[in-house]
Amino acid sequence: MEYAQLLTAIVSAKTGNEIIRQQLISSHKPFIINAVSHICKRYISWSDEVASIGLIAFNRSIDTFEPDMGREFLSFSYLLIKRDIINYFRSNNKNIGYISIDQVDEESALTSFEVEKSVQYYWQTVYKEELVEEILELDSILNQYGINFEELEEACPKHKDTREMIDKMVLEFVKDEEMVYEMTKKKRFPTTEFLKRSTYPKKTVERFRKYIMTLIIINLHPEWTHLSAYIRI
Amino acid sequence: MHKEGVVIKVTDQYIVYLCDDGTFQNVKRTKGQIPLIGERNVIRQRRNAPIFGYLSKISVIACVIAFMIFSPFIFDKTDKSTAYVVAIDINPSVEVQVNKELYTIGLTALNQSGEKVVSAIEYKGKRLEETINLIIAQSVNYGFLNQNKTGLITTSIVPINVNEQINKDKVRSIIDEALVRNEVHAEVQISADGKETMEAAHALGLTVNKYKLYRTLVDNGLPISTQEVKENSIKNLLELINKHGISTENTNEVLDNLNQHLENNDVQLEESTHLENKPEQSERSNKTNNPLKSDKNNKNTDEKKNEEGILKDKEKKDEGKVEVTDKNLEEVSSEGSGAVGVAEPNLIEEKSDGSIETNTGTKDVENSIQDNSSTNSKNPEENVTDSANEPEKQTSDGKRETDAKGDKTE
Repeated sequence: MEYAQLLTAIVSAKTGNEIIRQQLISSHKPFIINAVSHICKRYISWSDEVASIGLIAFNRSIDTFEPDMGREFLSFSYLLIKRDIINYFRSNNKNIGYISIDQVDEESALTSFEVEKSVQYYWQTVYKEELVEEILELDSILNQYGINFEELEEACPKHKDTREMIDKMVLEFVKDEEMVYEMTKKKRFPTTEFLKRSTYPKKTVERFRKYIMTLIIINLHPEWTHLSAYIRI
Repeated sequence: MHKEGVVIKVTDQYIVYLCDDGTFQNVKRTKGQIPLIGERNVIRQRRNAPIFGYLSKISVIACVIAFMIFSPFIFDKTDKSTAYVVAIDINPSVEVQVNKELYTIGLTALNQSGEKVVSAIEYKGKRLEETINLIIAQSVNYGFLNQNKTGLITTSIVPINVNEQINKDKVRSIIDEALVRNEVHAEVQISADGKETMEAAHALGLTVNKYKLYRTLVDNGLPISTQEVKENSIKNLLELINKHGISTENTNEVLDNLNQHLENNDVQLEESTHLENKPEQSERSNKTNNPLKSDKNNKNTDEKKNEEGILKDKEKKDEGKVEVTDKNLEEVSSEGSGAVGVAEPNLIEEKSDGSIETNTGTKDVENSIQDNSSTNSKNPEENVTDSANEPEKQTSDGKRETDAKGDKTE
C-alpha cells in the first residue's frame, strides 16, 4: 500500500467507511502491539489491557489525523498511543516515571536540533514509516499463507550458493504466470507442478519452501521499494 | 559476525530481523528490549542458540584448561604402548604387559591354568604391583600355590621399545610382598631378557622362562618336544635337568642367563639360597657329579676369583716363600684365616720336605671348612667360599683345596 493509498483509506475511514477502518486497524495490528510493547518496555500480547488502549488510540488517530499537519501517519498514531498509555498508567497510579523522561527526550530530539539534522531526521522517519508499512503489509499477506516471520529463519538458506540458486528459482517462478496464479489462488506453494516444470532438487524446494514463498510475494509487490532493497533479486 | 538488519517483528522471545543479505534471523530478546518495527540494528548474536555464540568460546577455553589439567592423568593410564613384558611362571604362565609408568595394559595367559587366572583378574588401569598381587592371589585360589609346599616363581622381564630395565629388586619386592600377603612360600627367580628371547619363545608357543630351560635341554641333546615343555612345570623341568645330570657348564648357561644381569653377587646369592641349602649337604658328603646349578654358577664366578687370587699370589711369591719356611704349617691351618703362605702350590711342591706337612695341614683346613659351611650355611658369604671349594674337591687333591682356601683368605 503506497502512502497515497493509505491517506485515501484514512480519509474514507474518517468519513464513515467502517470496512476500510477495520482493514486499516487489522493491517496495523502488528504495528500497534509493537508500539505498545516499546512504550511499556516489556512484551505485550493482545490479552493485555494496555493493548486495547493502544488499539483505541490508533482508532482515534485515524479520526484525528490531518495530512496537512506535516506528520507521517504512523508516527502520529505512535504519539497518540504513547500519550494514551501514559495517561492510563497515571490514572492507575502505576510507576511510569521512566516513561515521562523518555518522552521529554524524544520531544526535544524532534524540536531542538538544527535544520539539517531535522531534515535528515525527517527523511529517516519517512523512510522508516514506509518501510514499516511495507513490513506490515508483508506480514498480513504472509499470514494468509500461514507463514510467520519468526519461522523464516529456519527456512533461510545458510550458504551463499544455495541462496543464489533460490534467487534464480524465484525469478523463474515469478515469470511463470500460471504458477503465480496457482499460488495466490490456493495460498500454498505448488511444489509438484513447479518441480515438473523445472530441474530444481525437490529437497531444496521443500526445505526452503517458506522462504521461497516470501521472496515470491515480495517480488510480486514491486511497490515495496524499501523491502525489495533488502531482498535484492 | 556482525550483520545489520531491520526489525520486522518482535515476539515474546525473539526479535525477527530481515538482514541486508536477504535472510531472516531470530535474535533472542533480552528483557525490556522492545525495538520498534522498522528499526535498524546491528545483529550481534549469531543464531538463536547461545551455545554456538560467545558461550562456545568460553566452553572451548574451559575444555582446553580441563584438558591441560587432566591430560597427565589421562595419558599416564592410557599410554597404550607396551614398555615391558613381565613373564611370570608359577604354574599358571602369564605375561603382564605394562607401560612405562608400570600400569598394566595387557594380561596374556600362556597355558590353561594361566587362562583361569587371567579370566579372574580385572587388570585394567591397575599398577604392576596390584596385578602381580592378583595373579598370586588367584594362583593360591586355584591351588597352584599353597601354604604346605614351597612354590617356584620364575619371572623374566623383557623391555620392549625401551632401553632401561625395570629394577629387578623392585619386582622382587613386589612379588615377595604379594607372597607374604597371600601367606604362601615360594622361591622367586627373576631375570632380564631381550626382546629376541621372548619372540623366539613365542614362536615356539612357550613362555620366556620355559624357553630358556628348553634351550638348555635341547642344547644338551636331550630329546624333548616343545609340547612336553609346555605340559611340564618349571619345577619339573629343573628336576629333569638335574636328573639327567646335564653337565655343569650347560646348566650354568641357564643360570648365567638368569643371573647375568644381577649387579652383585650378594643379591644373586640371596636368590639362590633356598635352592642351595638342601642339596649342598648331600653333595658335599658323596661328592658326586651331580652338583646343583647354583653351586656351579657360583663356582664359575669363584673360579675367576681364584684365578685372580693366584695371580695375586704369584705377585706375593716372595712373601709367601718366607712365610712358608718361617711359619708352622699346622698352626696356619688351624688358624684358617692366616693361611697366606700355604696358598702357593708351586711353593709347596718345591719344598720337598714340607710337602707332607702341607698335606696333613690341608686335612685340617678341609675339616674347618666343612664346619664353617655347616654352621654358616645360611650365610651367603660363606656359601660363596663353600661352593667355590666344592668343585675344587672333585677335581683336585687336598693340596689344591688348601690352595683355594688360601687364595680366598688372602
